[in-house]
Amino acid sequence: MSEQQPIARLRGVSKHYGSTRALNDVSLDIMPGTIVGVLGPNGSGKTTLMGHLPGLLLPTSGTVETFGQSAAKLDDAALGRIGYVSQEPRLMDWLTVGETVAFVRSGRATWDEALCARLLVDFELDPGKRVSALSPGLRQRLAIILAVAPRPDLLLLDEPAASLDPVARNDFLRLLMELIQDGGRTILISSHILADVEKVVDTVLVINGGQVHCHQPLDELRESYHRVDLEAVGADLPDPLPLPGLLTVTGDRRRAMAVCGHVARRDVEAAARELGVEAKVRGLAFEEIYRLIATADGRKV
Amino acid sequence: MSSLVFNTMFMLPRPGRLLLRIGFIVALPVAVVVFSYVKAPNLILGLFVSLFAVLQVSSALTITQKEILATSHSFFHENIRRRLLCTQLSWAFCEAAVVALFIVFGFPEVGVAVTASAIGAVLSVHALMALATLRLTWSYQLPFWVYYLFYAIPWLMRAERSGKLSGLFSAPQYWLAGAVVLFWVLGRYMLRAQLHRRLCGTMVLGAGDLLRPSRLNEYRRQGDQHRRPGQGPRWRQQLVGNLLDRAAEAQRRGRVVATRAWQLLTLDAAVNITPRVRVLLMIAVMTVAFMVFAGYYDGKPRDGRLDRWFAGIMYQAAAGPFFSLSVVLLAAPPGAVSRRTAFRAELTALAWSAIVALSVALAIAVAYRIMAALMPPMQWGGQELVFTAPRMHGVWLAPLLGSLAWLGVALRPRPQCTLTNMILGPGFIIGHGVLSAVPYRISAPAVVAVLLVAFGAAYVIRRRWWEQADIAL
Repeated sequence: MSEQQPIARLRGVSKHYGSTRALNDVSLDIMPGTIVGVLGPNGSGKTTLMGHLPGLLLPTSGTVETFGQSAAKLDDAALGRIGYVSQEPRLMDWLTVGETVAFVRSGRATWDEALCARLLVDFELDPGKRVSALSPGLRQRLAIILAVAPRPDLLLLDEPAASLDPVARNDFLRLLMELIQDGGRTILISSHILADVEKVVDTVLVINGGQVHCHQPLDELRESYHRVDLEAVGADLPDPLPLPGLLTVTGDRRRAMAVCGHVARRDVEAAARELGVEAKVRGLAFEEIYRLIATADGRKV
Repeated sequence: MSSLVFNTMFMLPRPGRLLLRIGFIVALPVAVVVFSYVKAPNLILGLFVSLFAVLQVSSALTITQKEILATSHSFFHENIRRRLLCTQLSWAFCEAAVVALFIVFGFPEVGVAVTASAIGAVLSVHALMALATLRLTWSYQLPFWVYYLFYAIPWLMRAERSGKLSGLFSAPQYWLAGAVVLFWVLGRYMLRAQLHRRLCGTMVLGAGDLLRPSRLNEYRRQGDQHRRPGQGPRWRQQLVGNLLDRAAEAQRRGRVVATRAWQLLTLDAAVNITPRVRVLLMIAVMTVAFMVFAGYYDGKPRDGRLDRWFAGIMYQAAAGPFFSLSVVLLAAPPGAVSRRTAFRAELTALAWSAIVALSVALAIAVAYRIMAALMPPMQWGGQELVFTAPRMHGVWLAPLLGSLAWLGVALRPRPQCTLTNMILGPGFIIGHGVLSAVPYRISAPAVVAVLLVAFGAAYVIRRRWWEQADIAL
């Protein structure tokens, strides 16, 4: 059986805007069928990274390949396999919703009419309404429909839920789940709403300062970060704590809370047992894991 | 090929707006050509106006195509750039056909060579304008700039009478070859993804957007998105810093009105002097270029209408401090001081702006005098042109431009409202026309009277606004 080829491959990609380094020597593979959550603080390079995959942005150095072609030279057929929702979607304000849909449909070979019609209803978009009269949330919904209705193989969603109300966000997540179940589809979604991301993604990509801090499956990530509550029995807790993958410690010599990363739970439990103290090892919430990775000050953790 | 089948969205991408833009901007020249044709048919004038109309149509169409390319989803639209290019060609050929019909039926005596040349010229002009519109970020200004071509009409008429233009339309092969080359360049440019990358996700302004403050604000916001505060040339940073220091000094001394006035002036400097060094350089170069031209042009003996260009350049420069008056006066937090203090500070800031305007006008006049001493006489069309220093008349009127701007603020007190500029612009043009065409002893008192009335009205309305308006929000 041949090894699966990545749908997108970045090698040594750097992007500079004047003196600002938006991406710095990024190398990664996006495998087909994965749902990647692109996370990072504001200005970390998420949008720039996503813009490179369809060739909307070109790297200052390095190479980007999408569907096995150079992203800078993707042909119409390859571009037709990509759906993209930008942070602030720019639409044709002078058209109605229905006209916009018709216009985009005319340029997409794989348009799913039934899906589009259903989403227009679900997202409560009136086809006769002018785009310029839509609220930011409704514009975002329309942009999502335009990106999703062609049933693209690669779907890039740059903070798609930022302007959506909770109900619409829920509908959107449901739609994503449906697309995921459709199979074979690769989705990159950037968001600051970690609870949403956690529900849908299977791989997490954390980027900060233009550098990839973490790119691994969510389950694996969860299994490699642990919180250890320690309580001294008899003698004080040792300083430093001899725990594998120790990242942070808070507390005092009698009671402490340690966080360990990049280590199997059983190793942490074994090390805690050896200390001869009362120790409870628990998993970390995703939000805490993210915070640890994103605030690593450039260290790859 | 089915993807290349035309649909109205490509042929008339923004039907209402496109027809409105074209209608507005072409109506006047078409009226001119119809009127002059009825009066005395003239092929050169007819062709000139036709080409002008082609420029406007090409600009309107291309700006709309830029708007399509700027949409987020267009990058993934199959064959979109090719479709847009096809639309360009269709429009260009339609225009060429209309002009050809105009010549064939309006001037049946002219030969095939002239008609073919005209077709080549139409295609070339269309392609050239489309290229310029696609390339320039400030393409929304082009429909206005091309109106300056009308200055060439007297020269064209003279050249036609002297027979200098007889050979211009006798060799269609050059025009047609030019059109082919220009469309080839346009095709290459439009089909490249690089153009799409540059435009995708950006905001594209049309000429009509100059009247829509919300669009202008959005455009400015997008332009400033990646700019750090304090950028720009060092002298700009120092100027803003000095003004802020003065505000801090006034505050230390407990002078409330002066503090706020200096704050307003700081805002004025920051808003009006762009941090973009390239734009500043361009303004400086254009000002000097206009001054050189104007010095020679005004120097020609012209039946009593002296110094027209000087007045134009001087007033344009002097109006600078007032152009963003609505932003400056209304964006500052009104709740920070009492209403009375705020009104007095507004008057103080206006007075300082007027002094700046006077200084700028004087500086322009002095620069002219220095240039007059340096610039040599030159020959043009068999005439000797001498760079003449203008008379200083009208300089003292420059500060009064503030009255018009202030009236704009008073009539529509909303930050970013363009009414200030809309009053200032026509006011400037009318005042300038009156001052340079009507004897000075009549025009100057009339202009002063109007400006004082404007000032009085603005004073009353602004004072009432400060007393009664809801300004807490």
